[in-house]
Amino acid sequence: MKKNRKRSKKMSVMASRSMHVGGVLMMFFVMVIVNLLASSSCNQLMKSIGEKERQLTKLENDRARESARWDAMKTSENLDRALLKFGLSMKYPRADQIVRMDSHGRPKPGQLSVARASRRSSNAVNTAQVNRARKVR
Amino acid sequence: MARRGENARFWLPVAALLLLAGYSSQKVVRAHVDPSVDSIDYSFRRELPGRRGSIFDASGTPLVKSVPVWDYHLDPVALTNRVVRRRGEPPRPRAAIVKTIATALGLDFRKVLAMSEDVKRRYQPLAVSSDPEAHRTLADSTLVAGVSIEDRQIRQYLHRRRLSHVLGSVNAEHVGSAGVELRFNRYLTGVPGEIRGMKDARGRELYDKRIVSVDPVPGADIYLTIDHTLQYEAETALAAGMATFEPGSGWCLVMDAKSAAILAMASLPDFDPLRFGSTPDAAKLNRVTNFTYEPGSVMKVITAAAAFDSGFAGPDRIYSTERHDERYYKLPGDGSHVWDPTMTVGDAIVHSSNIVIGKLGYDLGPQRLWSYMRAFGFGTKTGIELPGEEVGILPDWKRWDKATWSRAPIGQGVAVTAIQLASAYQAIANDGVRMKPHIIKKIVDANGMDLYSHSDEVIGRPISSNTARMLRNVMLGVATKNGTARRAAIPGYSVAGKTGTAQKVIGRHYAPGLYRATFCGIVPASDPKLVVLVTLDFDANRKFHQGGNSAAPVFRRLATAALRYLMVPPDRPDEIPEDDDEDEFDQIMEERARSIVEAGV
Repeated sequence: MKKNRKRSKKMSVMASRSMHVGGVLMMFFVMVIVNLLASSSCNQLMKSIGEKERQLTKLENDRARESARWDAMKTSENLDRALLKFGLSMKYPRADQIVRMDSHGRPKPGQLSVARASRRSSNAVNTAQVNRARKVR
Repeated sequence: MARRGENARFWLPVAALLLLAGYSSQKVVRAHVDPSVDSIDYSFRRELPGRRGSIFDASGTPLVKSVPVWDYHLDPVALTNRVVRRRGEPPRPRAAIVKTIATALGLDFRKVLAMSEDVKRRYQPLAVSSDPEAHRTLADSTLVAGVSIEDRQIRQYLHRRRLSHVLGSVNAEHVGSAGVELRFNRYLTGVPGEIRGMKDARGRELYDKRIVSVDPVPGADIYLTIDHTLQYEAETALAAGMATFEPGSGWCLVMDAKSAAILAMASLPDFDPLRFGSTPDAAKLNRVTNFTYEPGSVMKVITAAAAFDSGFAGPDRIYSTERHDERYYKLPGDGSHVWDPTMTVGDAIVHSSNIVIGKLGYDLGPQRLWSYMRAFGFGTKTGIELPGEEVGILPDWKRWDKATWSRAPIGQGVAVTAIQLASAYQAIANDGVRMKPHIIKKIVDANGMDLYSHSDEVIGRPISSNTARMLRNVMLGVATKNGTARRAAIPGYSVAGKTGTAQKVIGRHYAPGLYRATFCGIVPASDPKLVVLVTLDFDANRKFHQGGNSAAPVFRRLATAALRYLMVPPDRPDEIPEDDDEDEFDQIMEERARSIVEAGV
């Protein structure tokens, strides 16, 4: 009986020790696994950051290149050359070729273009009247 | 004993496990904290270049930008050694690879083939390109071998040679070496950023171990007062004038009459900013600001201004046109012109009489004339924000001999820059108020904050507003049928200007047959908006070397385009003919301008 009691006491001490050690080991392994998981997630994040950084740089560079190409295409010289290719030659209009309109779409008063146009139309009317009178005669 | 043995059997593996765990965790912790844990250094430092600032015109149109490009180099050894094959296909022969490279970069196949055979040179520059398609092809290792690609930035001058003297250039290190690029290098240069961190064994950055990450700061952007359309008109008109009248060089300037802002500035020959190093010095010279010359008759206006403003004489004062007058010493002649026995000062400006203006200047006296010339800005820098501005030559009046007394009034014995001349005419246009000529509108940093913004600055009042108006009225006669520059007349607009045909000085003598023809005009004279100066410098004897015959048509073409572009209403609308009345030079210059644009020169 005494011997059995001794063995059972010893067994219980052993069991509690194993429990402690097992707990420590379990904690250690949990930590290792957590570390591994965190590390793997960091790696994923790191790859994604790297990819995004590269993408951003590439897009910024592409934008800069494209905007420079577009700006170069729009220069006065290139536009003129493009027009000449189609046999078009453009000049700035003279003052008598410009009609400035007000907000109601009517020509503003005191413009050379309007004065000339009305003079031309009155001349045309006069000529027509003279011709008609001649025909009547 | 048995119990001790049992304990040892249990604790030994536990201790070993703990030791192992401790050691590995210490390694892990140290690796996180101390990057130098291993003998191999995986740390790195990468500099991020700060983009150089851009240069814009007054309307915000970009003129110069820094653009990322790919710099391609060929290594013939790598090309030879490496077997390039597509999956399941036989190795590509050298000729096929070279053809791919040449086609992608638009190079000559034979040239690239010759380069690929020169195995002694392992780093041969192929091309610099910003074409993404070419990059895709050349970065494909299944198609191409032996091509190394470097990312870098180049300075792109979007209008190529246009405005080259103003914009300048940068050297290989992206440091300004001329023009605005040089003068404002401090502002344009960006601040580089940096990245410090660790790499893995395969050379890839470990982003979670980045220690320092500082973004680069781009350089400031510069806005000029130049209008790119007017600049184009100025350069086209000047180039057409040069093709028509065949001078060795020419320069022109368009200035705002009120604020003295430079709207266009051209000097030919010009240069390609990307080949600045190999450009001859003559082409590098900005003749508007960095070149002095005897102005000739355009200075007569300054003499007249001195006479009118000091009250010494008015436009109606009459002088004899007799050259050999005992009261005057060594008067300049008027060539073969036959004048009436007398002439008014006003007519002397219109007909550009050397004798009459020489006499007027002589009577004014050197001190008075010199002080007015000085007040108009001759002999001093205008202060324009471009490097290398010349002062000109205006000796102190005490050092003038008697010949200079009568020669300086007609623009001999003094030397000026085109910008000084335009600045003096700007004072006449602006009712006697001389403003500081400027070409920088503002400087804006990367955050959009103004580092500098120009505010108009008065730098002198050489003459009264009445004198300025009187002068403009006198100068109106120059661009008429009676004046020396009928070809400068612009239908619908009043033009106040003056011609100059200055003999060139070679060594210590005037060279026969070599002239500098100038026309400087103010338009519209009734309410000045622009000052336009054109000079053609003849290296050889040409038929049309006079200011009224060569510089005036260029002025007319340029000023007409500028007035129409800026929508300046005509002050003499009734004079506008029903159709464009182009004279022979207008037509020739139009054809030349068209062929220049077509040829892309």
